[in-house]
Amino acid sequence: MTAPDEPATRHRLDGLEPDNLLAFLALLGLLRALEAESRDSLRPRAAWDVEHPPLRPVLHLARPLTQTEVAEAAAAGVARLAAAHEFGGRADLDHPRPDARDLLKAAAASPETRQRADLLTALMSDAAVKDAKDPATAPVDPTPLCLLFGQGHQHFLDRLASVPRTEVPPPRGRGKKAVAVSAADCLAEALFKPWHRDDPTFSFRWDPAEDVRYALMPGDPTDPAYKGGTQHGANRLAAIGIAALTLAPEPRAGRVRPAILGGRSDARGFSFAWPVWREPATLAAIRALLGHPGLRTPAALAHLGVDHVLVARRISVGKFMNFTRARAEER
Amino acid sequence: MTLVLEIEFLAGVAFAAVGPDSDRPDWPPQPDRIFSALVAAWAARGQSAREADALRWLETRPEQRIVASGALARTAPVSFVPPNDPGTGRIGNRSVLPDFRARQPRRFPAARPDDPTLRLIWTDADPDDATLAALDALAADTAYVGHSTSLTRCRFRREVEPEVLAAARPAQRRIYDGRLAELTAAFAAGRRPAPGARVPPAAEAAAMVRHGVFDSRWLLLDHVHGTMPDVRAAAIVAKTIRDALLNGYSGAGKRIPEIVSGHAPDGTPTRAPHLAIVPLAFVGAPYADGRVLGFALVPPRGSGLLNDPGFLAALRSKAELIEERGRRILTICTPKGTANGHAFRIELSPTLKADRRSLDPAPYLGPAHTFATVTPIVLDRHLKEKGAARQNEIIAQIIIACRNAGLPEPATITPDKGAPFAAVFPDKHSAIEGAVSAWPSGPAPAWTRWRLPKSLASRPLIHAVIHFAEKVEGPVLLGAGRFFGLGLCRAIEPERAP
Repeated sequence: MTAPDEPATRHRLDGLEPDNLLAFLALLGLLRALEAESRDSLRPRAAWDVEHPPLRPVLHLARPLTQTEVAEAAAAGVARLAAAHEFGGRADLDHPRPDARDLLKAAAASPETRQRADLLTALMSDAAVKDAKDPATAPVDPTPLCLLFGQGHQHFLDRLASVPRTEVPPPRGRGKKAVAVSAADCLAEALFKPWHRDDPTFSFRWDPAEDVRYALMPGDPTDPAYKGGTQHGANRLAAIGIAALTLAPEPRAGRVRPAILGGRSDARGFSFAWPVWREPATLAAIRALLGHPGLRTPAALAHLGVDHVLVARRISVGKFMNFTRARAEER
Repeated sequence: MTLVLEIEFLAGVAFAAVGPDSDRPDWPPQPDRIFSALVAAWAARGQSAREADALRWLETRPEQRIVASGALARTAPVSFVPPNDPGTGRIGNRSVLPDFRARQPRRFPAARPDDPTLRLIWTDADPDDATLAALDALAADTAYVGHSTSLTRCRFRREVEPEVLAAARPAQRRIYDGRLAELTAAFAAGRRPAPGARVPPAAEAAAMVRHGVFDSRWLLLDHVHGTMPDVRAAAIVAKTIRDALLNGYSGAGKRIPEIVSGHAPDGTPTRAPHLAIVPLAFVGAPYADGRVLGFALVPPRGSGLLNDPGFLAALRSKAELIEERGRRILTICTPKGTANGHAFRIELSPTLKADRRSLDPAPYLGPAHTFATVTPIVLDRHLKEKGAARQNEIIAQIIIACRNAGLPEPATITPDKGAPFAAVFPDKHSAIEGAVSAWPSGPAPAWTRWRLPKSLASRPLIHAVIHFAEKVEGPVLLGAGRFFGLGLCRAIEPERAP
């Protein structure tokens, strides 16, 4: 294991648990942020350390950096990409079809707005709209990763705009014991250390730990001490990472519905699968793996260095939705 | 040297969930769960350094294998239970009283193993006496594995019987160097520990399983309304379902494929495997009464029929979505003019996963060495022999039926004295509890006989137990009535991979 202050080209990301969708999206966000910050000099790639349990991803860089420098570069990249997270004050992902079309066309019109086009195309398509009397003005059917529709005053776009721009969470603790963390520290915690989820910041319900079952809690569920926090750095990276999962319209059951890289809808509902690959892969290569038609077929991607594939299912818990911890589906 | 941890589930039930979102029990418990139980015992006993060293020694031992029997997954309906420790700070807080405590939903997935004793084996582990004593002390205090209601008796042993060792299979998850530190750190931080390291499935084990021509993925037809005819009329109902499907193709404007109709384009019976429709009855349990709870469409293996757009269109055209009931309903009824006692009208709902246990295809799939018929086999030919020779003639026909269904031939048993014989045991009665005999007893009325479609009406019926030399993955459907649910077999030695 590399010491935190020792420059290295290989960094084991001990914070990113393999069966956690938020962690996987954070990994995508990390690669995206590093590419945005200094793609040519860092050439970031990721692989999974299959041989050394517990399973964790490893970041590979072209030149040695310390963990702090990695986090600083990622923070700078996130800040740069967060500029695209501007939704004109709209709180939910429910654009009427014409508005969605205009937004997408405007984003695609110029290479300068490539980051924004990436983000918007990961969120919606004007071809996939919800059932409505008038399809011409129907709201878009959002990405299946959107779990917030205003229930419990949780708004997806509102959070997608604010979380990447919130560089640091509020200081942890009270009074003199309050500890403030920097933007880089916050990301370093998410990447290199086990998560403590101490932050009272917004999240996207991608972390399976947010699936809180009162009956399974060790103490009084109404006690604020048991109120779960978030890992802000992970949510920041994941908010950036979602742009890597491009959405495309797909005909399904007589309707046009949204489909994303790695996603599939079947009789059991929506699930998201990601591979555990052995060799360092760029973000583009990972996207290609996620889009591979054999992704869900056991051992079909073995020749591409995929050890196994993890699948997280979207579930409803009361009025909220969550993702389960991912499990390897062998057959 | 070999080290064995023997765990006996004292109540014969293992409560352990795959996850909070799942109603599936985690059986057999994997080494990481068992190791966590040992670590919990270590903490409860005072975190002795000697015992911690023993656990650290144990976590570095490679190759963990499990010997566990098959298990029956209990249904895990939602229960409403009070959450923990309601606040007591407020005066007059009546929610502390049992009757007024809030209730929250949860499930209690559980497995009922055939053999309550499970063994976790380290094939290359030779602890010194002090380490073994420390481990055994921990094992002695490990009162449960999984949920705290899974009471256990645990002990470590050095020796293991050869036949037990031979039955050991690789675990699905394993512990590793540093697991104890990881668990203690997670506990101190109030975090849920991650599962153990995944062990890739052994490819050779899967390759050893043989299977027949029918697919293990079924479309279930859950009986939701109407009086279901007795299982003895299952072939008639199956034929009516098939006719409805064929009608659905016409209604959807699609050509009826050979794989569904069982007929070649020229109208002759096809020789290729085609769709079978089997009854799913309440059988194989002490109180089983044999009533039919649904049917299943069993396509030929690898045909992809259940995903075929034409098939789905035909099914949809006959099974309309009823909004108020939230499900599709396929209504099956006999033609007008059917005799009073034989007419039926039932509603079936297509689904890939049904709640009722009798609709679970797993008991029919194995893999297993031994299968027994639930519905009798319709023999392909009329019997000509009498007496003892007749029995051999039946066995020969069943062996041919296995061959026709793409299955291996039954095993051969070689007794100490006498000639070898095939491991096929025909009988009037089924070996499965609740299944109906192949023919009624002498004075029984005629209506207690099996009702068969005209093409099979005169054929002899027989139940059988068949033992294969190698593991076979079901479904096993034998005889001339296999496409109408006759000759449907159930595994009677459920052997599931750990």
